[in-house]
Amino acid sequence: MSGRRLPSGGLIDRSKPIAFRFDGMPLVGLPGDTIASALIANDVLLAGRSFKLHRPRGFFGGGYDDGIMVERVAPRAATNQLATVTPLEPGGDYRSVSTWPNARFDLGAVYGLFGRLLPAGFYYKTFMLPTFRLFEPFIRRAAGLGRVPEAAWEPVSEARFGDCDVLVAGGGAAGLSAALTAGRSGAHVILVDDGASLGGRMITDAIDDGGWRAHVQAELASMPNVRIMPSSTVWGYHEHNLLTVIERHPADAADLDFRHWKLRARQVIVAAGAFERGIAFASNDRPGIMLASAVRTFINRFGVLPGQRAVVFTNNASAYGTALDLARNGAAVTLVDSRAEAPPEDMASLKAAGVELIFGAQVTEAHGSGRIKAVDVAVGTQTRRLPCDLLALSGGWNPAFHLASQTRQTRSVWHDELHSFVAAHEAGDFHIAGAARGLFSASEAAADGIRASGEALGRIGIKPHLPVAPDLPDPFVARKVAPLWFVPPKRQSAKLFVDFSGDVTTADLGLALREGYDSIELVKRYTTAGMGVDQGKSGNVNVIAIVGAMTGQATDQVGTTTFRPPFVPIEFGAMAGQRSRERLYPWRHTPLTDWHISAGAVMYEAGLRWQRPGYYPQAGEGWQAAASREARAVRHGVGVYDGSPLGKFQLRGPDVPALLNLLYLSDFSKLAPRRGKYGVMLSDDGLVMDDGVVFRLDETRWLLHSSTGAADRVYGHLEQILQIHRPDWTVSVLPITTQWANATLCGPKARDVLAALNPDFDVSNTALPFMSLVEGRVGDIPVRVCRVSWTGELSFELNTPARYAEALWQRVMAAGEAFGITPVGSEANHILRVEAGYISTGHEVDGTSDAIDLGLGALISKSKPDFLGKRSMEIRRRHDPERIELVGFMPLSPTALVPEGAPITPNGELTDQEGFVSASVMSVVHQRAICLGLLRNGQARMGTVVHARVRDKVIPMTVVPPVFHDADRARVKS
Amino acid sequence: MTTPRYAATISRLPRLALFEARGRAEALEAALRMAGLPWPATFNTIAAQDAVEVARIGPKRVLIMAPAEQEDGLLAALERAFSANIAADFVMLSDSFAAFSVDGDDAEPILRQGAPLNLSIQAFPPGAIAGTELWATTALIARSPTQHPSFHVLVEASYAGYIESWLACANGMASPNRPGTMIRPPASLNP
Repeated sequence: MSGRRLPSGGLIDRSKPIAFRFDGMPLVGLPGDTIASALIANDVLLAGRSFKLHRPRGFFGGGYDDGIMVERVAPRAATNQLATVTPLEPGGDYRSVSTWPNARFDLGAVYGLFGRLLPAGFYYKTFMLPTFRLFEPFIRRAAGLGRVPEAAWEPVSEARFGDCDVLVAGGGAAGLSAALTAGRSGAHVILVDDGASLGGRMITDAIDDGGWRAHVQAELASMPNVRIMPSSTVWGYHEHNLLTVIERHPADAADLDFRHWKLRARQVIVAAGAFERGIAFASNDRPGIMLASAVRTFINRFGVLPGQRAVVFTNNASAYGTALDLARNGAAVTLVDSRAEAPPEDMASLKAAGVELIFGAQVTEAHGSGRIKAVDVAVGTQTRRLPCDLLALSGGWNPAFHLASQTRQTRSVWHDELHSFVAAHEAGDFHIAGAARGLFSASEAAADGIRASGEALGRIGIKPHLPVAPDLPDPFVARKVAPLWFVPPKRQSAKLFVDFSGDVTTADLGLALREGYDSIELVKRYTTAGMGVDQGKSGNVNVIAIVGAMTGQATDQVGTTTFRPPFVPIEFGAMAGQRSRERLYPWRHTPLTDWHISAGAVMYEAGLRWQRPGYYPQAGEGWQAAASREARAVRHGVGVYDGSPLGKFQLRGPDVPALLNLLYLSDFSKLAPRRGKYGVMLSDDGLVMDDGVVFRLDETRWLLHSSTGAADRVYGHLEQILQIHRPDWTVSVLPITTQWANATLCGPKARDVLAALNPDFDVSNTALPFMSLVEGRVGDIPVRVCRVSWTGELSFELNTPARYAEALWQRVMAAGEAFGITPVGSEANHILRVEAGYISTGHEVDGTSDAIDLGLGALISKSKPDFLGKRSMEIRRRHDPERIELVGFMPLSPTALVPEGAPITPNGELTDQEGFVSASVMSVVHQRAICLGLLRNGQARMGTVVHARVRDKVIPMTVVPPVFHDADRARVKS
Repeated sequence: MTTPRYAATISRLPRLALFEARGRAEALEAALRMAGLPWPATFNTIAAQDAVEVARIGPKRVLIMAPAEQEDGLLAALERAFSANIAADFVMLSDSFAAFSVDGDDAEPILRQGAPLNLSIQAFPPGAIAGTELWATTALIARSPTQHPSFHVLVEASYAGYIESWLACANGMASPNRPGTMIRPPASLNP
């Protein structure tokens, strides 16, 4: 093992070395390592390049407060893996992102020469001529985010909902004691921690807890009411205690990479700890400069000593522990404390360990390129240069306020001793405990976890069983911080970084302020400070304080920015779970799907998730030829289509006639049993919602049809009327769409086929006229036959309970064989209905037209006083008399099939449109392209020429009436 | 995977005799009692009598479920009971629903992948039934009153393939169903 691995310590398995590669270098790590700890163990501190200037960068934080991403070439190629939290894998092949050829010798470093041209917001004011788009690809490519590999890893992820009484976010001293309290009290508890092992700072700071942590962990594991989720992170708080949690490599499902939870918790306790922050000084981004807490993490969790000759620069007591850990593990340590003095008890142990202490001093500049070699330390008026290979830095601690901020129920307030923001109060069912509340000692945190848990349990009526708070030795706690945000540089050109992820310097902050972005929210957006990979975990408060210093405001007067989910980087694939490809959206099948597929149908969605046969191609046929052949069969012979998805509702009750009369334009009060009537319904705003035929089944029951795509909308509309507007009406509405399958015979020979089926009822036009209904049998199959048409031909809708669907269809095909029956898909149906001039939801009924616009004004009853939408329609027509009306179009070129949706503009110019093409087909009747569409003042413009604009051409069309076939409906009624 | 991820068995059940009745609660209760059927005491619970189960799934909505062979008998009884009761109505929906059973210790984790409803034994005890979202569709989920842990899932029959695919996938198995081609013909200026 190479030089930086300690001989003992850390939560790693030293018995099974792991070979891996980074930027082509063969290296060795250990199980339990992250990529970062393994690299440091191999003395690789330069692990990437900065986002904008391609400056050499190393690890600054020890977890989610760091921003070094790597590309994983193998196994499972993926980019942007956060090195400080991604476990090392056997055979792992990693490379730095956006570097060439590698992080050590990156040609992109040339951008640093032009650093003065790349200040904050440079892309708003440079590269503008001739157009920014010319430069954008190069800028994006140069920016420090990795590219997705060609064969990118697709994680196996499961999305799951969950519920619990108490969710505890964070498994340190506060979280463990909170979970223990709730668990012992019998609550259903979920404990989430982002570490592979519970303990938080108790592990990283090697706190001697006398076995308390192991004991609590074992007790929690033994409780059936407690679920422990290690390697997991609560990444978002949403309304009403809904939390989003990413669980990595769940222990109970070996094949899963992630499980993504949406958890509804009755009570939430956030014990997420705190993030250490840095101090800005000249060249403070050199590899080898780390947060003091990161150094302890590498030493105590991973058994890695990041440097042999270390300087610790601090303004508070917590970094004394880091100095002690470094010294105890063999490093030569100098501690530079910006404070004038420290308590004697803090100094004593350090002196005993041989640590040199310098008080009232500040690190002014770091030296070195690929890694730190020395720092300049100002002591009074003197400057000392201290050689070093590691600088551990502590500017104080920021309680993890992120989830509390996301609740929008509490605000942050300034803490005068911690010099940081803490939550002003706990909010309702949301509690904060431990370091996240500014209580940094382990004992205080544990006691606070018990308090928070007790309060949470009380709110949900569970009697708390409070454990005794443990006494956890924790000598170096940042109870008082001497604020130090940045050290003024001696050189004007020096760069003092405040946000490593976005390459944001103090100079950028000054520039933003000089350019007038004086709100902290604007400074954030202009400079991108806090918007990078680490989302400002270590730098945000520094940015706020430095802006305060630059503007002469106290830090707490500057304001804060808003934390939003996600708290940590989350793979999109993890969130999606297995909702992709065929499971991206729900899909529905009719009972005839197997038949359609066996007949070679091309199936796709055609309304409300229904997978329907689009067309049945024969050998060598494309979709247009197949659809035309099927449509011709209906015009000249007979076809049959699967109309099962049509919306159907059974209505019963004494107030059904009143409901129908409110719902539709027409008067339904005199509809006789076994007869049907076409109706159009409007929404409240007077625009057409849907159309369909209503049949009266008998004296007490009605059958209401909606269009396929509007079935759910119509059902909701009916229920809204009955539940909210007219709860006094007695009407039962029963959706029966999928109970009934439908085979619709259509074409001049449709009656012949129906007769050939030997039904037990009369199929003559006298006995079964247009808009009538009969119930009977075809052999042993019960059928309900409706005489309606949507094709412009004689049609019979044969409805049967779904269990008989395939048998009925087979019989229809057998009986129709002698008549040349052809199965018809939705493409042919579209041709037929456009020729017949029938409107369709989603085409002509697009939510902008009223009934008169669509040529259906004759349906408006003069015998009833009102219907839903009448007043709105009349008002709109009064105020906007120039209506966009339904018309037909004939392209001057008979082969010009205009794309549906094509805008119509005056003379085809690039200007406001005066209408659009709603449907466009190649007519089998006219052997040419025809269209339906909506055109301003369309009815008055018959015979004129209008122009459709499509991409690279303008198509002239003649305005014609919107019925191209059987205008008097003689064939429909035959 | 070729082996299930969880300890659960997923089965598609044979067609049930299934009726839905709607109307004012007092009218529904009167009709069901006239038909000789039990009336659940509370919402979202199932009352069973012999092999017939009646579930109140809303203020004005009940489901009557039984083995398929009882369909004709139930139909006749319900027709008699509702014929004089115009304030309520019923309809046969045996063809309209597909039923699945999800049995085993891990039945709940499988269903919770699609259902936001809390299915824990405390919140959803044996004999409970409720409508919920299930993988972006609506479904009825019932916890078996006699067998634990076992859930029945009722979905609209048209979604049966989709839900069956999800249930298999949720247990780490290959999807048994696929939708159509999902491809529409391209729009073109000239055919």
